[in-house]
Amino acid sequence: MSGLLFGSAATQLYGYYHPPSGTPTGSVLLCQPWGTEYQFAHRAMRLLARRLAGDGRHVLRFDYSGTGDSWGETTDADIEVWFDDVERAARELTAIAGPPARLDVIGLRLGATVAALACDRLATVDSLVMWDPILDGRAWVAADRASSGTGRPGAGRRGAGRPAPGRDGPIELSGRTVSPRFERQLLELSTASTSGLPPRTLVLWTSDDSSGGRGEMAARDGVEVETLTQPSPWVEDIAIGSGQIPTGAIERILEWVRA
Amino acid sequence: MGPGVTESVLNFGPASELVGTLTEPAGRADPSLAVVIVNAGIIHRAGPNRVHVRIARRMADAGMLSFRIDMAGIGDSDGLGTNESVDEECVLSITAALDLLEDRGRATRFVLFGLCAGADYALQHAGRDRRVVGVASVDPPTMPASWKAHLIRGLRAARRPSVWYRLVTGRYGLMRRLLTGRLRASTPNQSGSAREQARSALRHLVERDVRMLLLITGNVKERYNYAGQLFDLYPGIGLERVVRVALRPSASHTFGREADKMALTRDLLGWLKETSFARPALVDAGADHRQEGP
Repeated sequence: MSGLLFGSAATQLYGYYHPPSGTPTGSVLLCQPWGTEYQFAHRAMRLLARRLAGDGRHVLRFDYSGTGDSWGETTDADIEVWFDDVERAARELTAIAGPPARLDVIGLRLGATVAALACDRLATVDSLVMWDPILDGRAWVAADRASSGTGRPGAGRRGAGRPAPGRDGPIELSGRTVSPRFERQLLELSTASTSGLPPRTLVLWTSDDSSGGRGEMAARDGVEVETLTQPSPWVEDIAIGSGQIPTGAIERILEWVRA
Repeated sequence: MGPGVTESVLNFGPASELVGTLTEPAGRADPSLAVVIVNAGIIHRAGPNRVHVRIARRMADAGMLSFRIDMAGIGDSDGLGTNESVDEECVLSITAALDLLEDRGRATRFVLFGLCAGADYALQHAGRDRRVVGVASVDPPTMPASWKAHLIRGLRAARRPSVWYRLVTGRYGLMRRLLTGRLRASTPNQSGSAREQARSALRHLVERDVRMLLLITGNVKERYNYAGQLFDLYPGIGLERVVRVALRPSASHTFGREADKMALTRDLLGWLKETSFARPALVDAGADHRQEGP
């Protein structure tokens, strides 16, 4: 296992490659959540990657531009760019592991939505797992605002802040300062327009999140929807900066990828 | 990240179990000094709300090299498999990070940065490694309250009508807790021996001229609420000479707001630039500088 940077020097993405145990049976690309959800779910995604590698898969998890250890400030986050990042990560995985016998893509929260929207850019995706996908960006932004009380930097709370910028200034979301463009992308985010889903798609719910869209996803051909009574890894478990690890959900994903 | 700043990911440790991100400036203000940033609790090395990435890149813009690491069993790093405690493996991880940077000729003197549990690990490691010349600690959990801190807390509480209401209506259950012997302080205190141990460790750091920044956010203001608290807790050992205290009651422990991140970056960079860290000449020639104790 090893951490690596890939892509051009100016826009390097961080990835972590987990080599397969035993005879390789395929490759898996993991698409991370964003914001505090990424931080809380890091342990669970790492364990999922390790388990998949233990099951004979080449696994790459990576950080999008402006997130984690990848290039860019948080204000560089841009969902259009992230679609390219998914492609770049898939190419990197192929460069490391060779052309895959099969490619599965697994995304959690915003990563699930990005993966679904980016899938048709990838050559061949055999299956997609959308784990607690964000199907309604507007509802997600509203929920984040309600829980964190954030908005424009410097506005509101007392303390060492810069003056509140104008209407087009940066915005605070999920513990990060983002661009108005990114906020607009989130507000307009929907999987309703996704046309290129792989032949097998699992929508796995482990939470009570009901921001809408479950019915719409379930109505599509080739899409299976399951709900498990499992803790949601992207929700902080008490005040430790991390979520719980839903072992049952991880087992279900392993089973799906094996099939 | 400014022009010329480069980042690389390094796998290190006895069997490359550990992972860290090296952020290097184009030109360095002090070629022998590096800042090693350790995990905040069990949060991976990007830090809470990516604040470690922010400070590493801002330090590079200011000509300072930093290495953000995942300690054993945290983030992308595996355990070291030593059968030692989690705490010990974390401290060993810091040793491995310093060894790596020294072996590769990147630095011989180190400043450790740690937030929350990371602050405790940084202070613990500093006590046993003479290469450490500075420690920036944010909200170290083991920092106890002093009697004056309790008094300030009580006086502040007395100004709130809601506290008097709860007291009068018996919500606190003071009488019941007094009668059952279950009345205790709600903030951590140190036993006499633990305080003496901490005092001895701090005195050792003072003797070695290790410079320290203690930054306290609003989340621990119940426990630590005035600038001189550390000096009252451990008087007579010269802490005032080597410690700078910054109280930031409006900042949150996880630096979730932009204003919090900016304040932390400003405090840390200001301290790094203005502090005169011990030079290598002060390190005993030929001594085993990697492991030692007070």
